[in-house]
Amino acid sequence: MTSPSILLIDDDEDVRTVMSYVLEHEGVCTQTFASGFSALDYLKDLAAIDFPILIIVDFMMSELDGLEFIRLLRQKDHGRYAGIPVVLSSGRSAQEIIQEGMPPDVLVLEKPLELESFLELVRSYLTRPTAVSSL
Amino acid sequence: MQTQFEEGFTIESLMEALFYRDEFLALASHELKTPVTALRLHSQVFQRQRRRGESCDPQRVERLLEEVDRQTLRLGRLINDMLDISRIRSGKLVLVRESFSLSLLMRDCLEQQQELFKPEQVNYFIEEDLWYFGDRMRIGQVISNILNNAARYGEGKPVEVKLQQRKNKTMLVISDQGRGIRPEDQKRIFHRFQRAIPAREVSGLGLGLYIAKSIVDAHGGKISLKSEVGHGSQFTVEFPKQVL
Repeated sequence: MTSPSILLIDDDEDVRTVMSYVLEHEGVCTQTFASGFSALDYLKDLAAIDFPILIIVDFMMSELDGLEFIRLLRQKDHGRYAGIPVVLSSGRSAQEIIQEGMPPDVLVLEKPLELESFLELVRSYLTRPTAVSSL
Repeated sequence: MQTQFEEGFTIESLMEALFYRDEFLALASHELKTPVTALRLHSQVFQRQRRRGESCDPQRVERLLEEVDRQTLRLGRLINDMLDISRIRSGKLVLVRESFSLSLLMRDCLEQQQELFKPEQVNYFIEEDLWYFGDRMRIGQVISNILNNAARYGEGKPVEVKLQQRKNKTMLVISDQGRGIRPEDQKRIFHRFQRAIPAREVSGLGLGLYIAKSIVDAHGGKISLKSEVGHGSQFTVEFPKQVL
């Protein structure tokens, strides 16, 4: 079993690098992906016990946007990944994204990120009991 | 039923224009916030380390400063694109003309943009000793914008670049084998604020081709597109022959 980790999905390399650096500096393992498809490929090879404790995905991305990624994540493989919490990062506000069909349980991390708020959000997921899929 | 205001304008066309303007504003917001996100996080991490009394690794500081430079350059480019739009619309795009080697400029642009492409993704033929009298910086912008387009939508497949003299024209042809553009979208993509692919799917302001067309038009040239969905796109820039 590996240490708890966070998946960062953003098509912008600079944003992936800095978010990963910030979290790794706080002792949190991260895996970064430039697209939702590559993140889904990564997940399918993981045992449920090794699932990340959180996925942070950018809303506006090429190939697959954040909302589509969340829909695919929750439908794929009979809902195997549905228990993994997801946070959407975006330059747009939560109110705007809700109008585009964002699920009500998904939080929005507004860009530009504020460091302490970002770390507090991540810490809140690190201390939650993990919900591991039964599949 | 269409309500006619002035000739050529209808409520429907105005609504469509407003839609594309609003989509552009959302895109601009995203594109500007992305480098600001990176800048802000880097600087806050640095400040945090200082407050905690943590020692700052000189190499880390060096990387931070490089990052600040890169992101502010990126922001500057985005802002310049938006300023160019304003200049073009108000008829204030001023060309600074000089005689320069188009062949060399093409090589320079390919070298500057090479990080956008995979190794050996670009095959090029550049006829040597092609000279042109025009705005070198702006023509470089045209080349870069179309190369950027090929990198963004080319799906990593081979890109061909040809610069050569044909009859009375100098022709630049850049072809990719990417997703291609639907016929109904092909005319729109040279328009301000419009793009052929939904805004959420691809980042970028969508101004590049509009700016490129405006610059080419200002030089008395022509830019055209051939494309087929699933088979890629070919952009051709023609400059009339000049007596230098």
